[in-house]
Amino acid sequence: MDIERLYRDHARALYRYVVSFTGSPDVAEDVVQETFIRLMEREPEDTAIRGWLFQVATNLSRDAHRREVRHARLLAKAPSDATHGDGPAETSAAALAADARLFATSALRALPERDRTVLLMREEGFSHAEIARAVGTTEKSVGTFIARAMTRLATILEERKVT
Amino acid sequence: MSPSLVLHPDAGRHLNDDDLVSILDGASSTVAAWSDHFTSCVTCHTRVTTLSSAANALRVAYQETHIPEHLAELPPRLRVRKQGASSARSVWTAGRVTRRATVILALAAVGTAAAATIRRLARDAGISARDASPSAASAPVITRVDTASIAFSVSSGVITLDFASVPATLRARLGSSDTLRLQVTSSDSLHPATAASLIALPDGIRIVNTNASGAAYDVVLPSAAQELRIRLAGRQVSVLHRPGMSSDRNIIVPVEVVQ
Repeated sequence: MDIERLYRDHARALYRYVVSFTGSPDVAEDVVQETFIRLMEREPEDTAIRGWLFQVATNLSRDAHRREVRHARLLAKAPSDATHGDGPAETSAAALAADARLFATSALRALPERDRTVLLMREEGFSHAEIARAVGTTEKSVGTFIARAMTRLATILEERKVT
Repeated sequence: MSPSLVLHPDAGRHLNDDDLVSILDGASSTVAAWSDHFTSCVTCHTRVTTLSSAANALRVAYQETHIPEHLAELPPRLRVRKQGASSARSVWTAGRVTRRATVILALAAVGTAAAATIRRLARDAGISARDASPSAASAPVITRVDTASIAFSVSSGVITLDFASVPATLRARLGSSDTLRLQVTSSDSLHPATAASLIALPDGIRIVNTNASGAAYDVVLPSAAQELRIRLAGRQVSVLHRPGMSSDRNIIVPVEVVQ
């Protein structure tokens, strides 16, 4: 197993997926590293390594997200709004785009975990069969899952736009 | 907006979920098949328009996610593990796992005494406890490479790392939260002769290490950090200021005695 090549091929996409799922760049880096450590310790038997990586990352993200929420409650502090790290100084147009990104990603994180999983795996180009495996449903149901999740996302975006 | 299949008395059936997703995916044949229906059915037209807008917002946000440059290369923690995997291997014992958990929990106690909030240690302890379960303990081999980490909130913009001995490497980068994180990677970070104790200070961490450990240290600074002060055996040896810090890449920080 060429771990360097696999890391080069998948780490960035995994990071993007996890940071969108959890909203935390630091957690995302931890999860990406932990996912590859799991891969090194127990190489999956099937050849669909990409699907395996995202499935492991999803499970780790859920755990990490729940821990972060617990910590935030314990510390009685609002969670960080910084979802994408510190980028370079932005122009006003870029700042508007960044606002739009924050708006969409914060709405995404208001969704239940399963909704987030199906929407983000769809963005990553996974097939309905792969999404079905990740969320534990049938391939035929995935269309309905996606439509319902997208409907809930649209509702949240609309509500926040109004308020 | 009901996501389930609904029959319309006048215009035939409404858009179902699979067709909707197909349209959101940009399937031209599905769009063409439904285009006449959309001109006469406000319900379906509104549904497609609303969900397309949400899907587009999500797609743009997702594709434009900022990805740090350093993710292009294997991080030290994995590199060391990889090297360890190709050389000496040893049997993982439950006793070893227990020792790791003990060390980490001891660190948590120190952190509490220092009035710092240890955040990630419980997680690491949790991993150790899980690894100690019968299924994990029965795994035949695992490398001796190990990592330990400490993370807690700091309010000061000036961060201090106080090493007892010169580390193999120290890298630093800016994080995006108010948390200071330090990760130690070594070929055997828990060996009694080489293990480092990590002690939380109000403004940083004291690392009681030895030259023999060969450990690499990665520190993620709080987003508000203005200055990183490196001390060696109590004596300040280097300072990294805010303009020299980056959130995209690790900066190698010198830790050596200037004669």
